[in-house]
Amino acid sequence: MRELVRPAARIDVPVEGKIIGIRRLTAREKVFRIELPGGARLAHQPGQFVMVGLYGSGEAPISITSPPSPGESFELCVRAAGALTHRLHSMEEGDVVGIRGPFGRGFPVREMEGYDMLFVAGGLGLAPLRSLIRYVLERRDRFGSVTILYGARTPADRLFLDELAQWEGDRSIDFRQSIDVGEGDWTGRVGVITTLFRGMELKPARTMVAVCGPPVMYRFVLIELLARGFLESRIYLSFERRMCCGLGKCGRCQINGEFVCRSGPVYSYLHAGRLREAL
Amino acid sequence: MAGILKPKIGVFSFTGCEGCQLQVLNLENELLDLLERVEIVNFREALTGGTNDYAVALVEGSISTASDERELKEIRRNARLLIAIGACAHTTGLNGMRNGESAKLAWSRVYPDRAFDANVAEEVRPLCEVVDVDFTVPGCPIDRDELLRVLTVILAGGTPRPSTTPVCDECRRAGNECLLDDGRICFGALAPSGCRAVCTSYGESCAACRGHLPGAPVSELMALLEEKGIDREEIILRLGRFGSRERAVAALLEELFPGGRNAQEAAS
Amino acid sequence: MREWVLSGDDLEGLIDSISAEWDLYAPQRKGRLFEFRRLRDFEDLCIEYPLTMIPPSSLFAPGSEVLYHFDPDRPAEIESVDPARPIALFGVHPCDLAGIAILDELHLSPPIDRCYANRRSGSFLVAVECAAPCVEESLCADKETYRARRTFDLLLIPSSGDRWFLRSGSEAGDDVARSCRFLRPATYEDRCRGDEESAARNARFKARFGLDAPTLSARVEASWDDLLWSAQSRLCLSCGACNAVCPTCHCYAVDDVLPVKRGESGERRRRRTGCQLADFAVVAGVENFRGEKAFRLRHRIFKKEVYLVERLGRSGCVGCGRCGHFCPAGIRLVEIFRQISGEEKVDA
Repeated sequence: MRELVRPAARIDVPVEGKIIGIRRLTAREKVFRIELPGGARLAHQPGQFVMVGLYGSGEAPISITSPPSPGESFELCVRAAGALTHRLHSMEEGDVVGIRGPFGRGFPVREMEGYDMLFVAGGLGLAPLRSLIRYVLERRDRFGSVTILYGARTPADRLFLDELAQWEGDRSIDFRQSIDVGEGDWTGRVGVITTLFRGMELKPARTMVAVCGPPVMYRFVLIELLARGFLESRIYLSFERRMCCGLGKCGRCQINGEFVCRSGPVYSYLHAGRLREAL
Repeated sequence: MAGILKPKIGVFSFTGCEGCQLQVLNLENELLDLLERVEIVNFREALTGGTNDYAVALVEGSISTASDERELKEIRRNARLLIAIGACAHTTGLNGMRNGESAKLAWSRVYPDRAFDANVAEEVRPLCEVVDVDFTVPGCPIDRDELLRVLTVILAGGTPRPSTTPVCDECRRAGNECLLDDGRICFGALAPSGCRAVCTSYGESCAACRGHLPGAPVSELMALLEEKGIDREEIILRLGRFGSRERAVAALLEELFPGGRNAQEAAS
Repeated sequence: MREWVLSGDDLEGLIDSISAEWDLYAPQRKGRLFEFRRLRDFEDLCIEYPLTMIPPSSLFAPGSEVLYHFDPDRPAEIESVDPARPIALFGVHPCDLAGIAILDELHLSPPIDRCYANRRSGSFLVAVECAAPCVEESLCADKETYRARRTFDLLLIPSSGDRWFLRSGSEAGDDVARSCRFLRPATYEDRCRGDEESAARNARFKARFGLDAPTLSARVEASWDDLLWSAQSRLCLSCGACNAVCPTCHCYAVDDVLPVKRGESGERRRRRTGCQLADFAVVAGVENFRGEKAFRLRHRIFKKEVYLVERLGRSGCVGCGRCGHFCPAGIRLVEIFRQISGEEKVDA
């Protein structure tokens, strides 16, 4: 049983989070570095999320993309999709947002120690996974081999290009990427993410898998993983639902009886596979 | 809009009853508070003269003439934000009822003794079919509080969110009995909330003047009303009053008037 | 057990004693309906009402409320809403009392919902037992919610000859009863008569679909892929009436209201919403995880009969019958449960 991480920030009323850095990743995504009052630590686990609030625009759940370890600030990767996130994209350094959280349960990092790690990220799904990937890379000696599969729609949609290049150049990481639609001078692989599994030598018996991406990706990735003999209990999936209160009260994020904001967003496939609304 | 300290607002009117402009004036107390934060520079109901210097345009009325279309396009060029206010601007509202027959025929009904004005467009259109509309404050007339919500969000640098829940939700929570239970035609299930269910709270059925929600349950409501013994034609005509621009309603009107109302006229 | 006898003429006296300390809400007419609202005039009290459309629990969990105020220029300055004067609900039916007990468990378990706690703490509940099921759709016999067992401060039990038995369920109830000089402690004879009357009333509450709670829950659980969900939701308008009138529905959305006047504070508000509305499970304006009305109807019933059973150890449906009674499309729990029990042809 994973322990429930006690939130450090207030959970029902937001605290002031100051934007201390903004980085544009793509036409649609930016990374915001946020500092809490008095430099307080968010104390999150990879895979957890916060509720980001802007007065006049309500709140939206945003996964934390930075690893828990360094410094006193944290990073959020935000796609300009709705009213709140568009407004967030127009904000500048020094502006203030409301932060509640962190919420939910992240990846079981302690249980993952000692295993080979396989990361499967699709599109914006790289944002929450990056927190775990960096957590693992910072403690490289505690884990076995590291494999990262990343699929994006087009080359221009890929997030964290500098880090992708770094992973590609790192001989201790098996990094593979693919895009759905070939474009411009792209010379890499084209095809859906599952094509990356072809010809790969994985050791299901000693591997933990972390998957995050659009809903449709899960079905195909799971078929691939289960066919290769990965254990249901060692496949972890992060689910996106309409988290609203973060307190397990408002009912918006429910998958069957589960409140994703409390018992998720990360579930093992052993558990999620039995939730009939999950996949 | 975040950087603008006191944005200039223009209020414009096309084909309609100008009732929505009156709703702006009806803001009364809030209007003075609002005027501390914005400057109204162009407003036929309240000001004389006009200017092209405005950041936000509130536009009511449908586009029913060639000159309407030219003026609207000019407003779009001048304004950073164009907000459609009221059913006429949003969906053509009642004006849309003249679509389906030729402009000339409609003209001859209203002005039997006058020559047809060539400025009149063949079809009445909502603003969004002529220019890009940034936000819409729906309704016939608009709800004052909803207009204020939209304006305050814009002034705070935000994007107003359209309602995604039906009038029924607001109506029931206001403690009203359902008019459908009495065998009355009510379109609350189709229309987005935000009007505080004002009509149904006074016993008037909802005409869906605020347009239809995406995926509005038109077929379910039709089936339910027909099972209650209400005449299908009556339901379709009522849907057509405000809903002629909705695809589901257009299909029903086509069922009632194959080839448009002109064809019916010709046949009879 | 602390029990007294109250003459019908002294009902007003009881209300006065309660009103001295609490804002008293009681069932009154609203057109053809009934609703709980502040009782200004004793003559307006309808103690023998069938059911209110909006359940009394909405006074603790209103359709819309301020979560907290904020100053748009200084977003960190947040002021929580002060608790109001405590309220008393007078004339709550046993099914609605069971509804309040469920909301209590959901809102007062950690993390505590402060708005609900503010309204509920210090409140006073006077329940009234029913003489018979109040509407065609009532399932209080099946749900065993036609008798008040707990949660009340005072319980009124109708008796013959324009009399009531008054039972206390809390210290606050004892205090109020002690302050009412007109109450007479119940004697052995009173109680014997009360038991007889109670037995006669109980006989009027007959089960409608005849499944005990664990069996119903198991049958619902097994019905996931059943065609009944599409069939039953055929005419569903996704109007959310069933959610709005349900005494245990508690889902919500959060909206902001910004001030018009410069320098005034804004409000972050909670707006109750419901799982039957089409937009309920839409994520980021795109993906709808419950896009079909059949899935939404199934979720509503599963939430009451499976998920809340797992969480609370009892059904989230208190059998009040409102969802069916006020559904414009005539979707009724009793039909669904009969189909699930395989006895759809049982007579009413």
